[in-house]
Amino acid sequence: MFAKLLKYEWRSTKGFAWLMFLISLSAAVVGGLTTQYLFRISQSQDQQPVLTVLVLLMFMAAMVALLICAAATLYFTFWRFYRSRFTQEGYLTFTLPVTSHQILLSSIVNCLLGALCALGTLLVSYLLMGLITLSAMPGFFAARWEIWKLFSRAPAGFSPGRTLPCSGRCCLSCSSALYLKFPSLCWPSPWGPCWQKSTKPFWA
Amino acid sequence: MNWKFTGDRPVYQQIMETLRGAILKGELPPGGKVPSVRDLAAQAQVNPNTMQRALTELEREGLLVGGGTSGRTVTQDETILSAMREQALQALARECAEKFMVFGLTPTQAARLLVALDTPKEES
Amino acid sequence: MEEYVLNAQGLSMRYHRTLALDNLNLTLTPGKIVGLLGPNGSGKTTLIKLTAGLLTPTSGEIQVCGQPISPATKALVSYLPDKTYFSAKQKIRELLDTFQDFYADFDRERAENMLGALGISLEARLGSLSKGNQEKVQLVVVMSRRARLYLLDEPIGGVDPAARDYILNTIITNYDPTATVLISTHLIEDVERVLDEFIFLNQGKIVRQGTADQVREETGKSLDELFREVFKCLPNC
Repeated sequence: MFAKLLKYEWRSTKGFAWLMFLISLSAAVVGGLTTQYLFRISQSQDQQPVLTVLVLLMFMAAMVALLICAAATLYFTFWRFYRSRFTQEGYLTFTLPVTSHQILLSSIVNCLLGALCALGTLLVSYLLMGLITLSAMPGFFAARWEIWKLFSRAPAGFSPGRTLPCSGRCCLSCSSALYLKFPSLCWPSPWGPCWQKSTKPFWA
Repeated sequence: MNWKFTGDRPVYQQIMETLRGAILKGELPPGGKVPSVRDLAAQAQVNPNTMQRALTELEREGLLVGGGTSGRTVTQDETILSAMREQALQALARECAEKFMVFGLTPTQAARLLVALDTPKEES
Repeated sequence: MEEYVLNAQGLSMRYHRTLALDNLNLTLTPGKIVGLLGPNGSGKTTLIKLTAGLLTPTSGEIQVCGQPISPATKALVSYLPDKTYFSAKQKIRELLDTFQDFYADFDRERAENMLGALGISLEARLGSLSKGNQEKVQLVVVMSRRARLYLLDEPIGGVDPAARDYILNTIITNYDPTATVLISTHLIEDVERVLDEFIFLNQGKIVRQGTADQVREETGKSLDELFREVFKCLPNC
């Protein structure tokens, strides 16, 4: 009976969570592409202030969108909790042949699932953004093995590893692991075939 | 069958009258099958228990027979049918007389009025 | 002794300062269609909600089929509230799935047939239906359960006469000698012919009880007329 209750509660949540996930992925793609552009601009000589500002705004909007999607998923589960208990829907919820403890527990578990979805959405989106950003950097592709070794090791005694935030490190090590396994995933940047005709890692 | 009920008499009695009327008019022919309690109740929009009571009463009077698994049928016994016909007509006559009484007419005077209604048919 | 479908003894319900039900004693036997009649605020909805398990009484006890209110009695009681209780984004098919999951006595085929006869598609979202159709859908799922006690709270208020006929017809054709239907309404004229018994409720107390035919035999009045007499509003009320 509890599984049925959970299925009933989750059914309303999953549609929204899925929608937020898709929006988040799109925002991550936009974020990744804008970051690529910003890096390219910072490298090149010719400045395009207006376009740069626009792209910067897009980047910020994408970041905000990511956070909003995660927050919205979480908020939705709380709203479902309220709706199924304190509005007209409560007439159905509380006349189901289950105990009130089961109802409360299933609502709480639903909220937890929603929170997990929100977190998962964030992580996947950041990962995707990282992949897009870094994949267009030739130096990164060439140095993927080193990066993987670098960031998958324990950070003790290695400054680049310590200065980057944790999620960024995860991003980089996961990305490099992926490219180790599937080199064909790397695709050229839309802003040009190559930023630098160099095989040195970009931080060197 | 015209299921119209007034508020002053028990519903089961009115159902019985309607059913008797239907038998008289031939809508429920002698020996013919009577619809089930549920169907009649749905048709008349009344409680099935009330319909059941009416049908049981008619069965007790002998107008309906059966009531087992095969359902009820209208009796084919002519004596009962003609007695019912007689009763219904008497009741109608009494009702008419009472209505005419309100206007101060005796049954004989009322009968004259009714005969007058008959005349146009004779003329044509 | 026949088991009572509903047995309320000394039932009282107090909301802060208001006494909605006042030491009520009521028993319902199976196979009846009972009208719970009374003016607004007389305690009809409170009694129904107590039986459905949505409220806990302040004092007294209430039992359904010999058991105190619990998930087991909720499985025996089919409740139709006066407002619709499903989420508007849900599809009708999902609502039927929910009922089938939770209630072993749900007759899905019957529900689908009734909805088909009404011309309502199973793939329609509940929010897209008209108010009348929403209420019909709710009635169909509630009456498609083979419950022991049906609680219908104002089923015909606020719908057009044709819909009223449909609702009353559904109640009649759904009749089961082992089940009881308790209809709370103040539209007595429409419902009178369908009732076996009636209960007049006023300010949380039962003022009159009996059968509709008894009233007509004894007083020559219809239930509607009797109601107006009993609950006549005095000039200063």
